[in-house]
Amino acid sequence: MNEILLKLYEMTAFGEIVRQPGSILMLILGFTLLYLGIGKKYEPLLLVPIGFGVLLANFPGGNMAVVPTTDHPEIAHMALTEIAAEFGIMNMLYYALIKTGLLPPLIFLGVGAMTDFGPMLRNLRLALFGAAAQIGIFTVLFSALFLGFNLQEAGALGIIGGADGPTAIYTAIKLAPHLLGPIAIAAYSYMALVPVIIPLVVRYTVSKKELKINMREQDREFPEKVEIKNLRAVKIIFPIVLATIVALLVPSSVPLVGLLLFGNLIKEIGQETNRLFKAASETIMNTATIFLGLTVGATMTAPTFLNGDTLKIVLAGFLAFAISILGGIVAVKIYNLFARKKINPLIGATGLSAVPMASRVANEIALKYDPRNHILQYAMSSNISGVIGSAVAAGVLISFLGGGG
Amino acid sequence: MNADLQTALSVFLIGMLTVFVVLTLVIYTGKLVIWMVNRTVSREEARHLADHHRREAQLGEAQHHHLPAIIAAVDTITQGKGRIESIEWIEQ
Repeated sequence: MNEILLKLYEMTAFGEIVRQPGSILMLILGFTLLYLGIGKKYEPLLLVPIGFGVLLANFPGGNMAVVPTTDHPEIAHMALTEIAAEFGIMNMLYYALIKTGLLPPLIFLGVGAMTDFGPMLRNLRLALFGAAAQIGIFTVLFSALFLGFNLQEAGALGIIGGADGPTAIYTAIKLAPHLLGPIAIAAYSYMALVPVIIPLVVRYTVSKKELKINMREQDREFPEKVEIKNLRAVKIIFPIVLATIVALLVPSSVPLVGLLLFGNLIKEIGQETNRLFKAASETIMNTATIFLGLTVGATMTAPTFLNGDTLKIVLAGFLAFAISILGGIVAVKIYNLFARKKINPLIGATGLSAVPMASRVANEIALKYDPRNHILQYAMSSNISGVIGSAVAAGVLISFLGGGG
Repeated sequence: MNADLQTALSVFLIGMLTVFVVLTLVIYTGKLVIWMVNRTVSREEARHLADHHRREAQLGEAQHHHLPAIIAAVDTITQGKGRIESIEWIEQ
């Protein structure tokens, strides 16, 4: 009888859970991410698959955890079918879709298809603040080195400051794949916390007078000299020309920026490429999101996640995020010192890539101080340029720290 | 460590410079494309497009003034479950 009970016990996952108590903590983390995604609606499209991926990876005996190449170097030379047979389907998905860097550019394709460059084209000068807001990415390189990370790890960590999930994942894959799980979690958590972090930074750095700067009134007082006579044609030509220029200047950012702009092009062409647009913005985007979330979640096992590095990543990631917001705000303040046409510093705070959430949050803050001050369209300009800026920053990091990617 | 810090400093400077250069190019590319397209649009087309833009602007103004009312109406009718995806101007 005892023998039968023992066999039953061994057949279930309970024995393994007792032997690896760390997996209990990971399961709790998985449930927490699911709660945040479903209950609190924080980035549900990503946190739900990541949370469930964490659960799948940490159910003992499920063979769904991603095996790092540091533990099994032979995996780098195995065929996908061999990986599936020996290490399970999640490893096959991870090494086929994530390790190759395939999914983040596919998500950028979808993001491009859902992005409207119109607000940016109508307020082109505001796009420069998307550059200033990338300062957190590069500043945190130094703090990460002091925290004991090497250069590649520091670069992967700094990209959290770009507030762009796919970019953070892509850079982590290229520079420090062993930190992929914590970096993805930190990036998406802070993106979900944009409605908390932006007001926090704004409260301590921007005066009430500055928050009341009304962008429409400024436009009326100092109207733009050039009007766009045919916005549709501009929107079609713009991604083609821009892709060419970016590809020539920062080739390593092409997988991200190139697909972003291609996605945008097939959206702007209209009826003729409507099927491609639908595939990019719905089918491909949704499929990529599911597999990205699940496989990133499956990298988070107790040995890879429950260590001091994760805590450091979370702390340094917050620093990168806050410095990026601050960088955008300071850039606007400096601009306002010299320009007659003033800009609301909230426009600088939205130089992050978190589109459109950062713009919405900035708009809400502006409306709180002046119910007539709708800045959404203006904020979207720096917000969209922030997407391009963070992808370019990722390209620079990969070129310099990853030996050419 | 010193070598790492030096590399980090180079990456910081080159990185920020590259991002600024690329986004400056984004601005000037946009301006160039707008200028080129504006030159190719004939007077008649420009007038037609201006009418179209005016209608869009009217829609924008209408949204600007009536948006709170529209949101409140949708919230009331759908008991907070509804979401506005787009607002279109219907020609009379």
